[in-house]
Amino acid sequence: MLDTALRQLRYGWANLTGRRVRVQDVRRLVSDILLTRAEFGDGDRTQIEEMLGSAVDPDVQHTTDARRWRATVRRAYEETIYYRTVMDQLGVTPADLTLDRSQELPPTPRSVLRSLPEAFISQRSNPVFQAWTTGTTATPTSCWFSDYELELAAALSALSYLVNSTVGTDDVLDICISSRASLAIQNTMLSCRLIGAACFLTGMVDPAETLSRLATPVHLPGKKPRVSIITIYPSYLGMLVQEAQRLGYRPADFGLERIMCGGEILSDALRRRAGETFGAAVLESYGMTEAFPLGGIVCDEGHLHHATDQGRVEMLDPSTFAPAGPGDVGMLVATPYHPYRQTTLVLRLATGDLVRRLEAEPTCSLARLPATSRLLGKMALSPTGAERPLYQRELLELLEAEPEVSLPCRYAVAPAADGYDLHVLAPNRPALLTRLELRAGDLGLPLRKLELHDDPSTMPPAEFNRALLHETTIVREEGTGAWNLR
Amino acid sequence: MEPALSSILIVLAHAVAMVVIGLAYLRRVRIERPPIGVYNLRDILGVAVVLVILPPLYLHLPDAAVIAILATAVTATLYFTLTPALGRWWGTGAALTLVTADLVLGLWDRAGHLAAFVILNNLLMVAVAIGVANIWAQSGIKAREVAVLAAGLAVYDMLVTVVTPTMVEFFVRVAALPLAPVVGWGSGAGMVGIGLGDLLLILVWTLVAERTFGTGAGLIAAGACLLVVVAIDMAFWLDLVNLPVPAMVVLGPVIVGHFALLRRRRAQTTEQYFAGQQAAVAPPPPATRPADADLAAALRLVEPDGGSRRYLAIAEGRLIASASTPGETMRAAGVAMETLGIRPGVVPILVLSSAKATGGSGPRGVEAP
Repeated sequence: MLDTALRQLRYGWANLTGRRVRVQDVRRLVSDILLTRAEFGDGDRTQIEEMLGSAVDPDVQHTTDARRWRATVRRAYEETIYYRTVMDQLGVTPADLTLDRSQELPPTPRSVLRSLPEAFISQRSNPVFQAWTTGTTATPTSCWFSDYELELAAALSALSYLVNSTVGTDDVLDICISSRASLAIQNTMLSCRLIGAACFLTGMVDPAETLSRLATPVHLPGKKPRVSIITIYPSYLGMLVQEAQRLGYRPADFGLERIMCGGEILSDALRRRAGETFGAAVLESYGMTEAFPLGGIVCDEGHLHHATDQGRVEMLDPSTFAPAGPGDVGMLVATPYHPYRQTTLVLRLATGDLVRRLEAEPTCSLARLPATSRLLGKMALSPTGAERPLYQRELLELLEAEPEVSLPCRYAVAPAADGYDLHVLAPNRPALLTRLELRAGDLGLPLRKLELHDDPSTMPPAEFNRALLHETTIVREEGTGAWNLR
Repeated sequence: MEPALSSILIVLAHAVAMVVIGLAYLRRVRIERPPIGVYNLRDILGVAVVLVILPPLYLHLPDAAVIAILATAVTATLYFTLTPALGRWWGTGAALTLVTADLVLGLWDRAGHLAAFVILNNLLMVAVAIGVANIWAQSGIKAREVAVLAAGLAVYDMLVTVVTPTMVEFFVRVAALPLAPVVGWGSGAGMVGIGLGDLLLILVWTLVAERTFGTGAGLIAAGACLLVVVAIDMAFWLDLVNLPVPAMVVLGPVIVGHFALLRRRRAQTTEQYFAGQQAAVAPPPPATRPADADLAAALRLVEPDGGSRRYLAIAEGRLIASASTPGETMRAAGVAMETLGIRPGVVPILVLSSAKATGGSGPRGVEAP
């Protein structure tokens, strides 16, 4: 108990001062929580958060932010060519660029990072791991990470999983995201190892095969007898929902308790349908490779809360880069702080992800963390031709609520001066079209025309989704002995 | 001069009362503990170091410093002990009032010690023992750790009481001070007393034995420890012993021996103990594997180079479904379990086998390959 207190003090002090966090301290805190849970049960989450310094006073938070921002800016200037060049051109020094004057540094476009990642790599770093973005919105971007960054991020994820009771020692977790999403996969696997949860990778194979693996018992000592948690992209979740309904699966055929979604927009409609199909709670989080380990989670009331201990998240007007006002749509601009990020350093990275600023302060269980609306969509995928932009979330809420539109829904938007033409890959039935048009009207979508296509070749190029990152697997039909590549 | 029987009985009554109230406290009152952390061997080492250092240290400190240390420690312990039962204000008030009264009475008549002071000091020390023992027991200290502490203190007590006069000098010193860490009665050579450390070990072992191994173990622990106290006191009364006896030298082996007898029994966690005490909904049972019988039955159906194979679902010794894919088999098994009335929560075992579903030496309804 005394050594636990000492570790908490060291961790809290590192958090407060922006000094290097000892990975071993965080790992041991994970063990301490596990031992405490084993002896006393789950305990009070708020008390644990307070003890770990996650719930801090706003004034203290501002001081801590200022200190960490300064340290991160100084390193970015001294250790990367990109920021040294930019700040020299602006005529500012790291000492000038305090947190209150941070707007003087223009947001870093993702395209620059994508074009020349080496310009962002710290000269003092020891890169050991390269992660690529999946590239569903643009050319994949690479980011390098050090062993310390990966180990610390995994330990902090494990701590977060435990504090939020998302993953426990007896859980069996199946990773159903792209096998090339190496950063997320290794982070999840290492976190599970620290917690003692069982974990395996299925990837994004044929949905029937994934469902089969989810239903297969695992009967391991000390673990739940079936897969209890999956991590998954919403579009692939949609695929599973549709296939499970087609094959006649019932919720009791699975042992799923939690579905952890990320990487894309999760609509309320899909959340509800997935919950009904699998009998599990559907959780949503936000994160991106370029801003790793900075991320956010969606609370019960539907706010996206951003973690403040590992970086800074701003919400800026997408065109002027001025802070977005209450109720306005803004772009998330992220700065992962040192020491959580030491290799690929980015300051004020323009993520391209759009959210709406809340009009009132949240009162939910995560109210201590700054919050925005959930993601509205990516700027690149939110057409702006008409009187107002049309966000991905709006379209997904419209289409994914309709059982006749196959999941993941494929659509294309053609902007026009007086609205948008929406093309949807769905059975071209008048009744379906009428229903969608009525709902679009109810939702206030500025659609000029809605067209259903039986054949994808007749519609404009559809938006990408991550379910398209399909992977193959060999399946043997045991009855016939035939082998299939699915 | 042997002590009066009445003095022995009074001291014994304090020890018995401490055990009874301490057990009741454990069952009814929850002490606030840090949300992360469980008492472990390193904490025990810390406690042991403090216990070892304090007596010789006290001998070299001025009275005021010793009183200040004792007053701080006792007030803090009483605060943590009383506030969960009385509330923050009443608990704080009671702790401060009791300690102040002890200080005033003790300092007012340091030579003779008023009966009122002795009574109050005894009650305070009993309360302190109850508080500390409950803090430890409710913070998850393990039976093994109490046994290790008891063994260490037995050796230590022998060294500082029999081999060196440190402990005797320590008690002589603190006996003349308020908040003396001893429960005693009588005066001069006829005084009977038991140190706070001994009381603490008696109670902490009783509580931890009860919490970990159940009420029976707790009662036996209490009985055995109190028997040691009775035996030592009777030895004085019968004039078999005329020197101070280090009680831990006997208590330590008793605790270690009792732990050795108990250690193979299933230990319950603090959460399970509290749930049982409050008759609350018990925590969900840990995930269990299927019965070995089912696994063995499934194993009999496995053959390395079978012909056409299918997935078989086996539950409660019966083949309940078969199909060519795991998913299909589990879907069929779900329906079959409802039809066959297999209890909810059972998860079948899936085995890939060429066995025929015609009955035979395998699970019911299956012929082993």
